Amino acid sequence: MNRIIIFFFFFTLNANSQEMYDLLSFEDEPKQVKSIFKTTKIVNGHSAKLVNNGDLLLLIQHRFGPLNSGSYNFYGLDNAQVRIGLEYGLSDKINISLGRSSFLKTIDITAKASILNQFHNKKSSFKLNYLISIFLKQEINMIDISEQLSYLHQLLLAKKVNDKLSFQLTPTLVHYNYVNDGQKNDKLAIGTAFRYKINNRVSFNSEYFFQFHNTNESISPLSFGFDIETGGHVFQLHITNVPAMFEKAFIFENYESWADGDIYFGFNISRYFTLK
Amino acid sequence: MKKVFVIINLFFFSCNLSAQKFFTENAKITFFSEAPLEDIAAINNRVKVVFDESKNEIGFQLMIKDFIFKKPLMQEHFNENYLESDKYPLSRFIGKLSKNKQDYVAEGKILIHGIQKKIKVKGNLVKDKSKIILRAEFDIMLEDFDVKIPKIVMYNIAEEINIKVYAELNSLNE
Repeated sequence: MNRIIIFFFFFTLNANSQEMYDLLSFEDEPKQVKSIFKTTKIVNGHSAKLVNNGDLLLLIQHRFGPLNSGSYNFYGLDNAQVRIGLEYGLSDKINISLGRSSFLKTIDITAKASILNQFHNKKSSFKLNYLISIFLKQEINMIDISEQLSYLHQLLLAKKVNDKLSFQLTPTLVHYNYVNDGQKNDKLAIGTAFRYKINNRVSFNSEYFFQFHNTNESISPLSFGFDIETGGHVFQLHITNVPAMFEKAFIFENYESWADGDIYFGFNISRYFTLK
Repeated sequence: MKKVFVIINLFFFSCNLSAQKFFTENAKITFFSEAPLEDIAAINNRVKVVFDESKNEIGFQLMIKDFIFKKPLMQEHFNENYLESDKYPLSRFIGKLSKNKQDYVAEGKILIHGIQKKIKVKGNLVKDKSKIILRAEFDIMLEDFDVKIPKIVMYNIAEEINIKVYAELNSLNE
């Protein structure tokens, strides 16, 4: 009899403690995965990361000459070309950016939109962004601008696999308004990239774009880099076989290869400003 | 017959034991870091609190990602580099409330950044019909919870963080 009383007593005590934990639970909350990439570029290509609402990103990309240009050219360090860009967060889901590369004197205007996000409690979820760019090549005589225009469409599919590893797949389409005989106006490629987190502030990135129907025998870009983050800056140090820093040129118009020693060392500096 | 009578009474008695519970899912917790170069402040308005009056047991739980900063970049760094909220999404305190003359003291374990520590927090409790209002303030040391501050931002982030709690709990009747 006493045993029954004690049993009831303990039963109710335990039931109440469990109830307390249940009330405090956040089990049903959608937990969005953050920090898939540290900044908006992996090495050459765009990452699935967006600039926050109201933030402005100043991106200075610097690339030296090729390593095989000999000691007279200080193994490439004597020459350098730059892309300067500004990226702005119109909202948490939409970014716009403007940039210009000194190599091939091309202006790029980009819009990036967030479509899907990755969630911790949904194993099959992934981050998806859509990106479009317009490239305008500056010529001395800008008579027929439409001939100097080309367009980029990309889907940025990224997934943080675990604490240390993130992947991205980037189906890419570039449309040329004007091509030479025998060339297609539309070129397709798919980018593959990964980021490995060495610690909270340093990561190792790698990127490769695979071309489809490579009719002009452009050599695909293979790049490796380190991201180092300090406060409001992200420094990216990298090596790659492409001198150009915008998709049209670095994927489809490259004739530099690793095998020939056409290795370009460069660095990107991302500086974030909060405008509001 | 007597046995059944006792068992039925016990049953109702145990039901009553759970009547004096208080709950909210919108308590506020703020933290503040004062350092020579920068003041950092954030607020979390989605803190869940449960208070079991019959056992003087109190529990708080919050999601780190619900701390709101003025600067989104600061919020991003807080989550990604310092508190690593992808790894440790929750923070909580479970303990017992006791009264010492005019002061109330909550004594129990606090979990921050995956590390649990015993703490004692002084606070205030006011009961108003079926509502309880809780207030508390305490300090924590970041190093106690393995939150690392790199030397480069030493003058931007304080080692000691001031935390303030405010909760309005409503009674839960089953």
